[in-house]
Amino acid sequence: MGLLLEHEGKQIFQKLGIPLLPGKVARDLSEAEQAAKELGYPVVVKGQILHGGRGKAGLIKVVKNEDELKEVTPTILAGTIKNMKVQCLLIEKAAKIINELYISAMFDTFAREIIFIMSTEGGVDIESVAAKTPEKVQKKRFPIDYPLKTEEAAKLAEALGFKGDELNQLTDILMKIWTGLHTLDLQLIEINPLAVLEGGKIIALDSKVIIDDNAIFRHPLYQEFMEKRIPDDPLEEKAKNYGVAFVRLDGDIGIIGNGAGLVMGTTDLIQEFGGKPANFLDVGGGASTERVLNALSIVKEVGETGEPIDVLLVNIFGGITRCDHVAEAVVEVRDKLGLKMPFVVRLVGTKQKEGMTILEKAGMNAFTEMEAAVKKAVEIANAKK
Amino acid sequence: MKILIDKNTRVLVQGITGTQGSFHTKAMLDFGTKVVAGVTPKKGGQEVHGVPVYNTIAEAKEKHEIDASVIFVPAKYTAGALNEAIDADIPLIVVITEHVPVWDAARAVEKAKQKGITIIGPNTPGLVSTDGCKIGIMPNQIFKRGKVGVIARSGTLSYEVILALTNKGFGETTCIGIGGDPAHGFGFVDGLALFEKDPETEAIVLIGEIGGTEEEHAAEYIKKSVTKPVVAFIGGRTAPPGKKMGHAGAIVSGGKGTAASKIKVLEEAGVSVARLISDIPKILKEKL
Repeated sequence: MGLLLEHEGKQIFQKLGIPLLPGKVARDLSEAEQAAKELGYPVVVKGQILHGGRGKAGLIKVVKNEDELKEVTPTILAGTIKNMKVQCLLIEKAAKIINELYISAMFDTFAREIIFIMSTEGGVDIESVAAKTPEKVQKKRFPIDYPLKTEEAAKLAEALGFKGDELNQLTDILMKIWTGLHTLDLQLIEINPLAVLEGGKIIALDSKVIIDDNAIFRHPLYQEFMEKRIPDDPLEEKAKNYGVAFVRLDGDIGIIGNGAGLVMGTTDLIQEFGGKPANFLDVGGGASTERVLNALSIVKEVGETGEPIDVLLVNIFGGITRCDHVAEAVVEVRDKLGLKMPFVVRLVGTKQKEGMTILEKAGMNAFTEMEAAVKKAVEIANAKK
Repeated sequence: MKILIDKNTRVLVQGITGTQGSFHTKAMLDFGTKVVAGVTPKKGGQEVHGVPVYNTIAEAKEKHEIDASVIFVPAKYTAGALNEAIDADIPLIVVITEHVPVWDAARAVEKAKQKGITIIGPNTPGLVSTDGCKIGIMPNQIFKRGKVGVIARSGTLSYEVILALTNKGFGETTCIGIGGDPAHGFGFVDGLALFEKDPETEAIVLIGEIGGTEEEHAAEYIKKSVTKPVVAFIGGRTAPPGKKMGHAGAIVSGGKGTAASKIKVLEEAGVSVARLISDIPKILKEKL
């Protein structure tokens, strides 16, 4: 799922015609000063980060003049939440807010429906509003590609208690959200809060937009967003470039395997037997020597940049992949990378016997049963404690 | 047909001249599948492993009867390939391709549903009938004719389970991968209904994983309509929580989707949930 930064989501809103406050993106202090000057003080400095809770983390500040801007900007730019970094700033003109709403539309991919969720209790803690007072949260489902009429959107706005011009504005925003989901490969548009300003104008004060990662190829704008991102974990970025699926975890048992489900099953099993996985890494089908080399080099780096790796578990279910090829690659790669930790390798499938012989000759623990291999890896890891 | 496919099912391969298409056509032929034709635009007139290649499905249909199609084309062309197969009224379409845009998949599934066409996938390893037909990429050597029906979200995890069933002497009737993508056609409930009706299937193994609510729907259906023993396995029990769909996702799911929630509702529906893959044959032995 491709979560967008607030300012990226707002570029999509602008494209759709959803009203916003005037704002500019800034990547350093001088750009922030320039932006604030053009917009006119007071402005709001908003750290752009792929994580919620920015307000509580002090990454959103209102400033009245340049001195204040100079004071808060460096702190916000250097801000982090749970290992995620502030990518840049959005400087927005401050405005007087009368009322805050919550509005979202989500693509329920399983049901193939769009769900509108709306509440007059906008602001930070909408989830607890929904849990404690469900009557304050309106939900309405429509099938995808349903010919949604303005009158139907107006009914939703009316149910929130809106009338007159504000009703028209809200209806218009709902229709634009609907169009956006259907035409821009989006999975979620969430506006929290949608603000009614002094004077009655309704604008999107925040944005949470999720694009479909698999559709980025047909949207030059999304490609541009991704190119400008600062990676939160350089190792995850590296894995992406190698074309392997990788997630860093916090244990001491390094894993590579073929198939997302198999690797997921391997991490489950490690914990079932009392061990802790260091990572998730799926090399994919038909892994070449180069793929295995790249995968192992990533796991090596996991150990060098995080908790050391005590044992490396290779779990291969050879369907189209030949076990002897994988075994040769693992041995070659271990020697080439100078990996010193013990290896536990599980091989099953095509040319299994030949593969096992190669591994045993190289002094590796070779198994055909997944559970036996995982047990052995956990045993080695726990013996080092 | 037994369940969806059998040894007489005539299969068309879309994207047959590509690396994947050609490789797996050979593997399907080795398994015994009747692969009668292939399609790749502008490559008509060739042969791949003895299978004639046509430019379009319409051309292929002039010469051959086709019961099912399997799609191996790249993700950006999958919507087009799916549309062609749906418009040609092929009753069963198996989409192997991964990374298909979710809107493309959802729209194709919706269109197919209106015509009574079954889509399996996208991002599925396909399906196997031990009667002698494989459509997709599952490894040939793990199957044995027997009495257990298998339905799974994850491909590689299901291979592990099927191998365990084969090694312990149970064997399988039909194994179906429904695909790992959020928008897919054929689902757990569809599979459960077919296994329940199939006289050869004596027990069902369901392999789910965290995320979504498909296992919850399956549990509801099992409670109501399945009399055969069901054993389930849920992958990703210890996975760290993934990215969620904003507050909206949390409001809609209301706590569903976690491994704990899935295991709970399945057990309430009378399903035995195995913690280890090696426990699955043990549980089946008790139940059969």
